[in-house]
Amino acid sequence: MENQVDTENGNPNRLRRQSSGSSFYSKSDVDSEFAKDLNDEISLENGANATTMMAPNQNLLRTSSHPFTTTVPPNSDPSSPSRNNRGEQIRRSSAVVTFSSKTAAESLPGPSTRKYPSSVPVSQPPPTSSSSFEPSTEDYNQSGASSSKFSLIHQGLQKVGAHLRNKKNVVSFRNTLSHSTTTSNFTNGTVEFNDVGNARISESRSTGFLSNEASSNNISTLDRQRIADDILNKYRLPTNSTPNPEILHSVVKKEEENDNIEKADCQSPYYDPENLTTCKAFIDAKRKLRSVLSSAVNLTSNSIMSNPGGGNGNDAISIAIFEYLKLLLAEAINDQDRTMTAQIREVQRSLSLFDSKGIRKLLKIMRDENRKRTSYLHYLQQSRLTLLQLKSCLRKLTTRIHREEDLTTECLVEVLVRFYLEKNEQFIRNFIIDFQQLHVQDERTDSVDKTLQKLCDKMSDDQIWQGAKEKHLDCARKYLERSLMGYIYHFALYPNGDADQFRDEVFHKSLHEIGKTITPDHRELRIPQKLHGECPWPSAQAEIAIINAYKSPRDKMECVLRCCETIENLIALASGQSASADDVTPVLVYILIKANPPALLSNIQYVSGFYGCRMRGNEAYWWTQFTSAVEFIKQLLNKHV
Amino acid sequence: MLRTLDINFCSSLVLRFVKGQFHEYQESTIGAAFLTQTICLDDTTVKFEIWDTAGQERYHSLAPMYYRGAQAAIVVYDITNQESFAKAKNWVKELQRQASPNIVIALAGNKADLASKRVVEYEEAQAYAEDNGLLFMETSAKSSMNVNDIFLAIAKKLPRSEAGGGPAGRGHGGVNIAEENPQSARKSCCS
Repeated sequence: MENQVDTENGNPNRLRRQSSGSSFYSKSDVDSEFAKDLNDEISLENGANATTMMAPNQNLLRTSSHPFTTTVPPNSDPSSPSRNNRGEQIRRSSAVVTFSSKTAAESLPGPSTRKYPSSVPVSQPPPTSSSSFEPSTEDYNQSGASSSKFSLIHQGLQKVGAHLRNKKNVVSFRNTLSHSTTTSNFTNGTVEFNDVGNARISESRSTGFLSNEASSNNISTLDRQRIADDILNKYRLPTNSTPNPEILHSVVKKEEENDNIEKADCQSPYYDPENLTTCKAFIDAKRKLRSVLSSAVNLTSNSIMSNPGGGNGNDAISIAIFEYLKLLLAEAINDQDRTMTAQIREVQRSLSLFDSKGIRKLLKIMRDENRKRTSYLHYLQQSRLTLLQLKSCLRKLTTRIHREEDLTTECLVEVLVRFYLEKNEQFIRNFIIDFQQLHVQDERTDSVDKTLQKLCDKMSDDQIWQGAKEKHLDCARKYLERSLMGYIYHFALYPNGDADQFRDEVFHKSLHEIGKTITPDHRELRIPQKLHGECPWPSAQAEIAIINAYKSPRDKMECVLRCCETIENLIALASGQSASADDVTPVLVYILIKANPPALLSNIQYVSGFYGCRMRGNEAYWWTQFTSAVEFIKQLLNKHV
Repeated sequence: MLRTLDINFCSSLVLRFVKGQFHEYQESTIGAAFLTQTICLDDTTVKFEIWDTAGQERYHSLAPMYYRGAQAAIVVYDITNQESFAKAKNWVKELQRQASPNIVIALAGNKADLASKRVVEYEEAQAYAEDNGLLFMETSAKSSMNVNDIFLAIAKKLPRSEAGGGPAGRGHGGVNIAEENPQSARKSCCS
């Protein structure tokens, strides 16, 4: 009866909280909020007998939370997450692990004491949900007895979670834990954490274990006796044939619970105006209404729910809620959402059981619960954010690893190619001699292509290259080409010998001259004013300036491509717009004049000759841009002369 | 494969085609100089490779380097600018004379959304296009009117490659030319 009085006052927690010992009060505000919430739930579910049940229950709760209060240092200032702090967090969070995995086995009798010990007359409604802010309430209900084992662990975890809300490392880890409802999940959680963490965990694990043991000493002798009896009772049952005590236990629990449900159904009426907040109808209605409202994304819901005090008292609220449900129903029917329609109709039916006072109470309780959950919601959002950051960080690392892998492979292939070429030295020597005899560009290109093809064909017969993948062979071809072109580079770059070199020299000198006077505002260039900020585009100049360091036409092409794309990027950066050719062309001209790479004309001739027919897509486009820019420079020089 | 010569207005037209969007004040951050877009046409897919060239008059002499080998060209003029239409006609002439003989030329009267400021009549352009065997449409990069359609029309008119229209071949054959606004080149982009 004491309980009933409490609920009527709308303050069921006060007495209980005082009796629950000082450990609750030593925690932060948020924490006590959660603790309060827990008590709330328990009192609502367990009904009139809750008070008698509370003693062992609280005791267990307290003991379960002890490892944290003892191992976890007082909440440190969250605004200064220093390196020290980090280490501490890891230790703390692993204390959680230890606790959960150890006690999962050890505290089996705990929940049973808490639920329906044989000594207590069973008249309370069944435990529909153990923890209202548990995200997987549904799972909870369904998994039945096995889940009840972990309810205490969860509650403990949630409290710790509140403590450590702002701590990164714990955040992600705790998330895993709070969502797991089975032992295997717990184990997974531990494994995951082991992956992330390191040796420190094992060290701290022992700490957690010790403290857990220490805390278990706090259980009174009476409780211990009862726990022991419970365990013995479990194993005395005839269904002992199952080897796995875990499964056995859950089966037993389930049966027990079913019994309880039936008994409870017989003894307490579905709708009980005397015991409004504890009767099944009320809890049902609350759950259904919550599920419907949570799926309604409508601003009106806020205005109704946040403003129930307005209007003409109780009637106005119940009218408002029914109106709103009608609205939702109409919407659902419009959308042909049959599931939703059925749910809303069901809610309407459940609510119609209550008078306006009952509905008001229902809404008030829901609002309170909602408020309590807000901080947890924030915490979850924070966790999600952290996880997303972590994910993107991991993705970056993976990319980097892949890059390095590719690079290593390429190095290996290059070495192997060198071996291969040494084997075919005579063949290469003949090729070099032959090549020097050729004077027409077509013949030269043809000769190079044929030799390259021959080398590649022979390569696939070579023993080393037998098992090579396509990717590796492509890579090998690249290196073959690079080496081959290296042998004949000088003859290929200057097909006309000194004449070409002389031409390049003249061009180089002219560019140097014109480079002294050229400005971005030059009347032939007129680079748009908004792009002048990046002038003289040193990074693009650096790219093109080293074109002579590359020997193979493909590498030279890539060098040009990099230069052009750098320009494109810089223009996009400067103007915030996509770089169009109107901007790129003058900038490219300016950069070429300023960078003035030696032997520019010969390079163009060389790439066009040996690579021209292999250009594709954007290579072809940027090569055209590049050559047309050089063409434009020639015209510019002519005008200047 | 389509190699497109794109001058001025084309930037926005092409962006509209490739990205499906038109930003009045800010275009997307990718480069607009070289873009690709694949469209499906009956049983074949056509991959457009759209080339952008500098549109200013001083770079005109470089244009042949770009439209050489192109399979299609879109010549774009501004319906609110008579001079741009005249220049478009010059481009068409140049393409017919110098580009590959099989080139598909399309004429696009852009800024169709600014009908109140129209100075180039639809009928006039239509007649000119018919006389010269061009595809003709009035487009708006802003409202995306006819943007996809003109590319689709080009794709239909492109000669199928010998292997039954497969996009694998490295065929060229198309140029897209937009007319330059004489006052200020950049601003003429359909803003």
